Amino acid sequence: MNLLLIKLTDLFRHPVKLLFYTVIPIISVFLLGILLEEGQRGIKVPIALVDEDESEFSELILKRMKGEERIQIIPAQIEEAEKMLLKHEVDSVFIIKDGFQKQLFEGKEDSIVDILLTDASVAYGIVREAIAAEILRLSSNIQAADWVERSFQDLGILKSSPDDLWNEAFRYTDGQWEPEPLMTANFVLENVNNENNEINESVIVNNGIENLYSPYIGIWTFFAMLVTILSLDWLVKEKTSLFPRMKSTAKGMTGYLIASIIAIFVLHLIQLFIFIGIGNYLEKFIVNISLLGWMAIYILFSLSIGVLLAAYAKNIGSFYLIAAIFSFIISLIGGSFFPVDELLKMINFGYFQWLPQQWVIQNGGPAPFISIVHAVVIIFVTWLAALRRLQENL
Amino acid sequence: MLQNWKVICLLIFTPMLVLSGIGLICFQLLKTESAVHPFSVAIVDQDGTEETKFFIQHLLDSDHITELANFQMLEINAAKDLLKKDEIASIIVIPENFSENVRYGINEPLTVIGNPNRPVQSMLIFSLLESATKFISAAQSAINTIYHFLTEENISREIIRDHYSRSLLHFGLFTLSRGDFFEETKLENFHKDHFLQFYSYSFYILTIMIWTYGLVILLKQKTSSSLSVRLESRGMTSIAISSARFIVLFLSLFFLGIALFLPLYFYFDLSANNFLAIIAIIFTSAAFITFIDSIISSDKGFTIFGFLLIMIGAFAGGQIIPTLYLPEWLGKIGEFTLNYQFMELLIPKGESSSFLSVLAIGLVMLFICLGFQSIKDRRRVLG
Amino acid sequence: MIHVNGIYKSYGKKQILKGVSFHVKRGEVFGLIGPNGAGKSTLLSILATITKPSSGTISFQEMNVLKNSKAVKSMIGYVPQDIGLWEDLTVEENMIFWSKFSEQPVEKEHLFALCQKVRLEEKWYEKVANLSGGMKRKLNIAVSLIHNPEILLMDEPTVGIDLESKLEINNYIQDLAKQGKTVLYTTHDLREIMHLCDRIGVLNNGEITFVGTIDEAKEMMVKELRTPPKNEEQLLLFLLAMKSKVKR
Repeated sequence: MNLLLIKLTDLFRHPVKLLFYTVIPIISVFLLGILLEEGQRGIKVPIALVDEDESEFSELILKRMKGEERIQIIPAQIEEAEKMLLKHEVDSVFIIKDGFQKQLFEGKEDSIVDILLTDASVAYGIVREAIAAEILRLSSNIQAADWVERSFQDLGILKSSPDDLWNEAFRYTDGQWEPEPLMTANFVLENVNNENNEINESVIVNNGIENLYSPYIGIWTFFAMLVTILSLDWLVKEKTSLFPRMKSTAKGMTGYLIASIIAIFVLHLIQLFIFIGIGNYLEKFIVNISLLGWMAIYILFSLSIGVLLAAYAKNIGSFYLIAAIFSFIISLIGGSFFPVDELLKMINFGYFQWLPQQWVIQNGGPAPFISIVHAVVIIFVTWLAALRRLQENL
Repeated sequence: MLQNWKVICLLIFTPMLVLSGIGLICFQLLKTESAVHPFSVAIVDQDGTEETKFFIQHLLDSDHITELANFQMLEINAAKDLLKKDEIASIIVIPENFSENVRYGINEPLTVIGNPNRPVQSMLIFSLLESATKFISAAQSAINTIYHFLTEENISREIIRDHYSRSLLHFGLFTLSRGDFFEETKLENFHKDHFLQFYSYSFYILTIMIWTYGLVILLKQKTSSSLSVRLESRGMTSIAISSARFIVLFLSLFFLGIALFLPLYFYFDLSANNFLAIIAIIFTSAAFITFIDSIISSDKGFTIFGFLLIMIGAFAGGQIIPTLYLPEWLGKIGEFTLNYQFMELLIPKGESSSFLSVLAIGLVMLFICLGFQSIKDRRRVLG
Repeated sequence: MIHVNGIYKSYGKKQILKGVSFHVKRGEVFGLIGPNGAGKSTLLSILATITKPSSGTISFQEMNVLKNSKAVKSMIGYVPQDIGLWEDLTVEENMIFWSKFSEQPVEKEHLFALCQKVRLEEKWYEKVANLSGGMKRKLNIAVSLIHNPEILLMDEPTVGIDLESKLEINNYIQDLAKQGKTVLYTTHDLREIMHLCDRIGVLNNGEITFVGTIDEAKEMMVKELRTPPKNEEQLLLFLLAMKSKVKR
């Protein structure tokens, strides 16, 4: 206990060190997180739109497409558009062919829009669906008006001129799209936030997805691991200078090691609480007790790995390098930066839900009890291996 | 440095293997949708009318939707249960009185309950559903118009019902045929292995940067404070030390970088000019890290800051997602990153970017670094 | 007091200690001398229970060290060759810190008294990083005496310090021996050994080649070379050149 107090006092006596281990990771997480979040929000598919028809309807399509958030429309002539496509400055080229409006009125909708693609055109499907929706709107407006005009004539109830009736029916059909279409969809995320583990739907956005994937917790797992392991650099220095002396004493080295690790753990818990506080305040993510618990376990895991790495590191430079590479690689494949496990599942590659990052990102995962057992075993085994190495190699 | 051969091996091989592995996986994902295994989505129809059945049928009949997802009809509690267990990607909920509201022009939104553990799949389903709602809106607005106009004229209910049923069928089929609007043409003279090449270059550059960063950490640790003092006493200035470090870094990277590049050179049948590009990249990467090293004296600070810079550069510079798809402001930031400059140098776009400009960036950084060290030396001498 | 019997120690294929045997009496200052790489520090770390020998036995006061390492630790005070102190803590803080490793609690007054004995009382609130080399060495010794050990294992405790400090430390060690403490002292400096030690052991290439007093060493040289040593350096060279003529 005394040793613990001494270590804690020593830690808090160095404000620079304190700031480094608390402030730097938090700043890094939010810096990178905001970049990824805003970047994700603003992702759009750039396409070149060529209007060969230059009619009222083709201009309407162009105008409405420009309002699409996820698509960047670049109006261009055909030659220019092809060049842009070959230089991969646009994802694809959509050409509203000459006669577009005429064909719509005639009900001949086949091949009225050309799409130019390359092997690099991966996102044109989204644009295709969006343009198809606009064409369908126009076309169904026309067909509905035609139907009404034809029915009235067939039933002999035509009172005004056919053109007037047609226009009225067209406007009525189109009017059902304002202020919003007849059918829309809302997106909500599953949110388990009560004791009975029931799903409460919390509406994140209306009529769209803004931030499906919140990167903050994932990125925290990377920086938390890196900084936690780096905070154990004193082990590399002390194992040659101080540990031999400690080992010759009655109380030995283990007590000191445990006290030091607990002190470091307290420091990183403070960092965790500050991070959670800021994140909650900025409404960047939702935290519950379970997630907090997993984040604390994750720090413990990082500490045990750090002790093991420090026990094996020959010098401080190697230790820093191994810490950086290990943290980066395991975070990369563990899904800290993007949902790797989901992407891998999609091609049936297998997934890495047993990596420690997933304990935090998936809040324990589908089988929390097994995850806890897994975590405890790994931490215990790692710690034992590290102690053994430190004891043996003096 | 070579005494740490185990650590050097770890540094050289690990990023290369892991990044290549992830690159191959990304490439597979982008290349063929057929390689993607369909995921499960639950549909909860709380309305149960003909219109909702028509809507569901629309989903099930759409090839490009069923390529990605398998649909199963469930009750809401059963669906939520599966979602909690992470067995489905999302739940599509058609609310009660949905079709009646739509008929009277009242928007009753569908709800998609997404799975936060599967953000990509959830996003895909939502995008597809958004499109589907527009198609259905188009059909429904037409059907509503016909119904409205006929009803207003006091036509008999039988005739109205007949028109309604025929219009439902007609417009329903019409929405399904929307694929016929388009005629697709693939340009043959575009680079065939574009994405494979893109990600190969991207991960090559990332590997070079990680190697540079790692080698500097290894070089730094050799110089203890007492050794630095001794070196200073023998006239070894900070400039000399930084220069020596840079040369070792460049030479090490040169051999490693060329060795790593050779497989790409042969596979993509590249020209000799690309070697000049590689040399420029290696030179500038070494200069950049040397420059950062001269500013940040703390080893830990360098470890964290260096990594942060590489990651920001990788994302903003378009190495993960091409800058083409990034928002404009991010693209502008990205243009200032070295990652972006390196990618521009390697990706063939018709006009070749100049390796001299990249080399110039490296030289400028080196000169700034040496200038900075010179100021440090003078301060030390003058006290 | 200390009985070392047939100690072997290998690191991989390299044999560091080859059957080292000697004993040290209670209250004796025993000097262990030998060239660089002879195995002195390794032997000391084995005696201090930091590392284990590959084979052999060691006993302190008839207690087997290898089987009772925890009990033995309270009896020994280890002074490492590297300064095992916290550079950014003060003398007081270092003493308090290391006192936590004792089985029994230690009063602060006792810690200060120890510092007084090594003449560091004026530096009580000074950071270790600001102390001279000699002062650090003295503190290094004081720390190992906190728990009042019976046996002191000192690995080149005066290396790299000024003559005055060296003499001060030597005098202090002699006082400790007079108080009944047993001291095992390794060094390169034969002059220091001649001044300080009751008996010496010569460790060369992992083997003990001589154990005895200085006078016995001189007699042996006369016997072997038919000439007495002109100075300490000659005696040292002779001792180091000897092969396994151990007189226990």
